[in-house]
Amino acid sequence: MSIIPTDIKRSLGINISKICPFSLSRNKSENHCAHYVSHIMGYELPGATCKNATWADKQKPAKGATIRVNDLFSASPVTDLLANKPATLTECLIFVTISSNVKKVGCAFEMETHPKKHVGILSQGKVWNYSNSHNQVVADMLSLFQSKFSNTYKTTGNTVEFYYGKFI
Amino acid sequence: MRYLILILSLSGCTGHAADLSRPPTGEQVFHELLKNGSIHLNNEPLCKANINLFTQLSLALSVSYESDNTAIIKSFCSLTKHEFSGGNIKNAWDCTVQINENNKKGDFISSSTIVFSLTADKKEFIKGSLRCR
Repeated sequence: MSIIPTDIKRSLGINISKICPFSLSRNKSENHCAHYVSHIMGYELPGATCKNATWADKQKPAKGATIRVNDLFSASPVTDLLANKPATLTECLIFVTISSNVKKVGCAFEMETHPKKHVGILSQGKVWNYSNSHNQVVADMLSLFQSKFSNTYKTTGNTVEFYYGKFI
Repeated sequence: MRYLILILSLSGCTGHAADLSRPPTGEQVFHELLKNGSIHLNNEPLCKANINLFTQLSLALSVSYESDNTAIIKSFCSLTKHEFSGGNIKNAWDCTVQINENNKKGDFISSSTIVFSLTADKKEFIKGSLRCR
């Protein structure tokens, strides 16, 4: 039984401002990947959200959504390298960042605050994520998502790493 | 004499009030940001991380180092309100510093945004107002 809201399909191709009523959604220069995932999945964790971004936004009645990739990563109950994802887990969060941005503390991974980080929702083989270049939601096959970000985040002295995270 | 007292008291009042038509200058914004670089982000509820502000700025500013990508810095302030401890709500300036990394074609690669509030009168950094994303 899927816990991904059925209306995720309706988000394909739309701008974040159609999903989020707060002022942050009108800023096309921001990274809206965690913002999109959180609105779809209903994540409003303690910390930075679209609702507490400004005083005026805080006064609005609507529910906010978490906006930082590392906040989603640390709240996920299980995170590991994508290569270690059980085959039976077909729906989860997919994270990508550079190798220096994740540290192993004990048995757990911790994601830090480097700007090169992205998150999407894996469902039926596709990664639903927010394309900041095109300012709209896209659904990439997992292999395409991996090749796209392996190229985009290529950085001297780092590798590009993919992680999965169980839903919060 | 009565008029003199009235004029002095009026000018005294306006001297203390913040001039909300004059936003902080760019120099004031970056001066306050850098002056507070040693703030630990675990003390900032909307910017929590186990590093200080200097480290966060270093991460954000170094994205295009020795790369063909470019980093574009945009900064601006807008008038807002800030709730101080005890529930005291006052005018303040919300100042945003945004660093965008684009590739040679101009495509989005990464973005880092730091927002903080300055007091309306003295344009001083308000601790606890940092927002990072």
